[in-house]
Amino acid sequence: MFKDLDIYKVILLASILLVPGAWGYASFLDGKYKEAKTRHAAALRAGGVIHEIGRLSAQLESIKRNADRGVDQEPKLFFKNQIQNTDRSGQIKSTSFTVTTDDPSDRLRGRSSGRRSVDVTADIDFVEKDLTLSREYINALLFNCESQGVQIWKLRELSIENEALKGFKPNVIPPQTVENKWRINRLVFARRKPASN
Amino acid sequence: MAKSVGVDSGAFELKIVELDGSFRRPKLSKVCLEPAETAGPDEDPEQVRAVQIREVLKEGGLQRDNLAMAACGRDVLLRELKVPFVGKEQIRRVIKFEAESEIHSHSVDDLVVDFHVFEELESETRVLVAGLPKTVIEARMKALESAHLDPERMDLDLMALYRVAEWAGCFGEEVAQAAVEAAEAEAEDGESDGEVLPTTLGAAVPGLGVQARVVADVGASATRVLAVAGGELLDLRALRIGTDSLVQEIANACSIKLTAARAAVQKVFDDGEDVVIADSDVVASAPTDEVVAESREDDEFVLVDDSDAPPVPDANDSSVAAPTSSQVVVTREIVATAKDRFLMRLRRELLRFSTGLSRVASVERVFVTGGGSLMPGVQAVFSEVFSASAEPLDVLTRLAHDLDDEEAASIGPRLPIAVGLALGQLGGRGGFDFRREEFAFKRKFEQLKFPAAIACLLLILVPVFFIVRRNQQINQLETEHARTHSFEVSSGGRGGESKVEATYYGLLGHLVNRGFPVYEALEGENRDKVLRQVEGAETFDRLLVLRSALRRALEAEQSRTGIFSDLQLRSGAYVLNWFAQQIHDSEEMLGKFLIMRIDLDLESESERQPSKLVVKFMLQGDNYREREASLRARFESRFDDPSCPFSNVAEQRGEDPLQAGVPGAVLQWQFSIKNDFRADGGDA
Repeated sequence: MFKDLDIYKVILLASILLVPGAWGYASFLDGKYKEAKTRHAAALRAGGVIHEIGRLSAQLESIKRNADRGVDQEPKLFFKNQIQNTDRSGQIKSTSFTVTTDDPSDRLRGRSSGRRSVDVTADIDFVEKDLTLSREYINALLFNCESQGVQIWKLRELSIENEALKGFKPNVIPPQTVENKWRINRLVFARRKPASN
Repeated sequence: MAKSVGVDSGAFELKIVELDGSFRRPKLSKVCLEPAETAGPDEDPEQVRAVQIREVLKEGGLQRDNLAMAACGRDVLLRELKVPFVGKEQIRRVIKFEAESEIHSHSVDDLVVDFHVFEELESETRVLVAGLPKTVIEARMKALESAHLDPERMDLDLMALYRVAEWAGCFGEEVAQAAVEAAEAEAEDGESDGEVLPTTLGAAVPGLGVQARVVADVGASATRVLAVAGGELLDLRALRIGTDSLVQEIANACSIKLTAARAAVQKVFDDGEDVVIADSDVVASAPTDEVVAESREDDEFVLVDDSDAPPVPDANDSSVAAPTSSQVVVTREIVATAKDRFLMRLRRELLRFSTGLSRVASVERVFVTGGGSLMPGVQAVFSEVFSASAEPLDVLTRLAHDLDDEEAASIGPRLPIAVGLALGQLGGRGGFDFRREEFAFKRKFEQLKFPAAIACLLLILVPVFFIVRRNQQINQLETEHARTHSFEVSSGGRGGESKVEATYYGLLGHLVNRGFPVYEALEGENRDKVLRQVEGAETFDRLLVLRSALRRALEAEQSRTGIFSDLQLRSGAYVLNWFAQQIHDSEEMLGKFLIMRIDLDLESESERQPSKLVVKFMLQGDNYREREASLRARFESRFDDPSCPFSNVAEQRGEDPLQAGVPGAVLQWQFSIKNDFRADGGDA
C-alpha cells in the first residue's frame, strides 16, 4: 500500500487529516478571539464590568473608611456631639435641644435595588424659646451631621425663619438691614437601612 | 467493466477498436474504419493523423481513456542482444548502456529504449531491444496533445500482432490459456511488468531445432511477420513491402493518382475487368505521394535489410498499357503484371526472413492477416515459402461482437493490430511501451498531484498562519485584559497563614495590583480569597469573577458594619447648598434681596407629590419684577442639569407687593425636588 508513496501523495494524504483539523482549529480560535474582543470591549464600555467594579470597590472603600470612624454610633450621642461641637460660642447647652429617634421597622419601602428598607429618623427639637442661630452655624451643623461619622445621616426636613422678619406684613416699611438670627422650627435627619437589620 | 481502445493508424486506413470486458472475455463494443487522410504539402502528417483520430473517436462515441497506439515497426530500431543479468528491473537499469554498443546509427540518449525478454538463461538474458527516436515520439505526442489525446501506451505494431495471435490461439490453446492466466495474475497483483513469459510448449526436433508458427500481417506500406515456437517469440520483422507498392507501381506507370490507382486495382481484383480512369485522376508526372516518401525514409530503423524499391515500369514493356491522349485505362494485364512483381518481391523478403530463423527446423502453421492478405496469391506465397498451409488469423471468432457475418468477413482481417493494442490495455502481457522518460504517460492524478499538493499545502499553511496570527491577537487581548504577571502564595511564617502576592497585566492589573483601588478596598484574608478566585478563573472571566467576589465582599461588609452605601438617602444639605449657590451667583442681579423663611421636606419620594423646598423671600427696588423673572429663568435653565436637585419651580402664593411706598414684593416659591440627582458630581 505504501510502496508507491511519494512526497506528493504523503502531502495529499496528510492534508486529508490536517486541512479539516487546521481549519477547524482556526475557526475555533477565530470564535475565541471574537468572543474575547467582545468581552474586552464590553468590560470597557460605560456601565460595564470595569465601571461596576469601580463602583463596588468605592463602596467597599467607603464602608471601610466609615467603619474606621465608628460603626453605627448611637444617634442621640452623635447629634448631640455634632450640635455642641459645631457651636464654638457655647451658646447651645445640652438642655437647649432634644433628639428623638424613630426606627419604624414596620415602615417598609420597596427600592429599585430590590432590597426592602426602612428609614430611621432623628428629630432634633430646639426647645429653648429664645434660641436663635446664625446662618453659618446652621450651615456648618447640617454639613457636619451629613459628613461626619459614618456619613449615613442625611438632612430630611428643615424649617428656619429669620427672626427679624418673623411676622412681617407688606404694609409695613421693611427694615434696611436684618440681623443674622435664625430660628430653627424643625430639623429632622434620616438614614436608610435594610428592613431585616 | 474495463474498456480499452486500440488505434492502428495505417498508411491506407485508420482502424480503431474499443474492447469491453477482460482479457479472457473481451467484447468488441465499437469499431471504426476510416480511410487515412493524406496530408497536404503544407500540412504536418502527424497533425493530420491526430486530428483524424480525434474526430473518429468523437464521431464513433469511443472513449479517450485507456488508449493504446502503435509505433510503426519501420520507425523502430530492433536489436537482439544478451545482457549478463537476470531480472527485469536489473535489466531495465542497464539496457540503455548495453544497447549503446549495438546501435551505432543513433546516440542512445536520443532514443527511448525498451526491451522484450526472449529467453532467460542461467546468468544472462537474451533480449530484444527496441529503440524509437525521441524526435518521432515528440512529433507524434505534440500532434496528439494538440488534438487533446493522451494515449497511455505507445506499443510496437509487431508486438500487438504477437499479442493478438497468442490470445487467438495461433500458438496453441495452452499458450493462449497461459497468456490469459498470466494477464489475470498480473491484474490481481496490480502490476504489469509487460514481460513475456515463454512457455516450453514448442516441440523441438532433435538435432535440428524447433517447430515454429508464423504470423504475418500484410499491410499497405509494410508486412509484419513474426515467428513463434511454443509461445516463445523467436524473431520478428517489419518488411518494407506492402500492397501499396503494387498500387504505386501502377500509379507511376499510368501517371494517375495513387487513390485512383488503389481503387482501380481493387476493382480489377473484384470484377476482373479493365478500369477507365477519369481525367481528373490523371496526373502530368509520376506522383510523389506520401507513401513513396514514407517508404524511403529512415531505412536504417528496420532490422532487416532494405527492400527493393518499386520498379519503375519500362516504357517499352508491352504488358503496360500506355495511356492514350484521351483516356487512361488500367487493364487486367497491368494489374496482373504488377501483382506478380509484388508477389515475387514478397516471396523474396519472406525467404530472407525464413533464412534468418536459424533455430527453426520447420514451420508447422502460418497465419496471415491484414488487408493485403486478401489479395489473390498472397496466402499462396506464404504457404510456398514456409512449406505450410497459410490460414487467415481469425480474431473475430473469439471476440464477442455484434457484426454480421459479411461485415465480420470484410473487416476481420484489418483489425488484428488494433485489437492487439486494445488487448494490451486489458492486461495482455508483453509488448513495448515507448512512453518513457520525458514522454512517460501520467494519469490524471499524476498530472494533478503536484498542483494538488501545492493547493493542499496552501490549505494547510493558510489556517496555520491564521492560527498563529489569532494566537498573537488573543495573547495581546489577554495581556490587555487580565493576564497573570505573577502569582505567588507565601507561607505566613509562624502564624501558618499563607499570603497571596499577585500582579496582573491590563485592566485587572489596574484594579487589583498593589496600590490600585480594589487592592486598597480589600484587605487581609478577604483580598487573598478574592485573588485566589480570580486566578482560578479563565482570563476573560477574571473581571466577572472579581465583580462577583466584590459583590459578596460588599454584602459581607455591609452586614458586618451596618453601612449600606447603596441605600443612600438624598442629601438635604446638598439641596440647600445648591440653592444657596444659585442665589450667591445672582447676587449682583438680585439687588436688595432678603430670605425670610426656608422650609425643606425630603420625606416624600412620590412622583405625584414630590419633595419640596419652599422659600419665602423679599425683593425691593423699581424693577423687582424683571429681577424675579431673571432669577426664575436661571433656575429653570438648570433643571436638566443632573446635578440640579430641582425639577420645577412655582409661585406658592402669588406676589404680595409692599405697600408703604416701597417698590417690591414678598414672594414664596416652591421647588419640586427630583427623586434622583447627582450630588457633587457623584451618584444620586
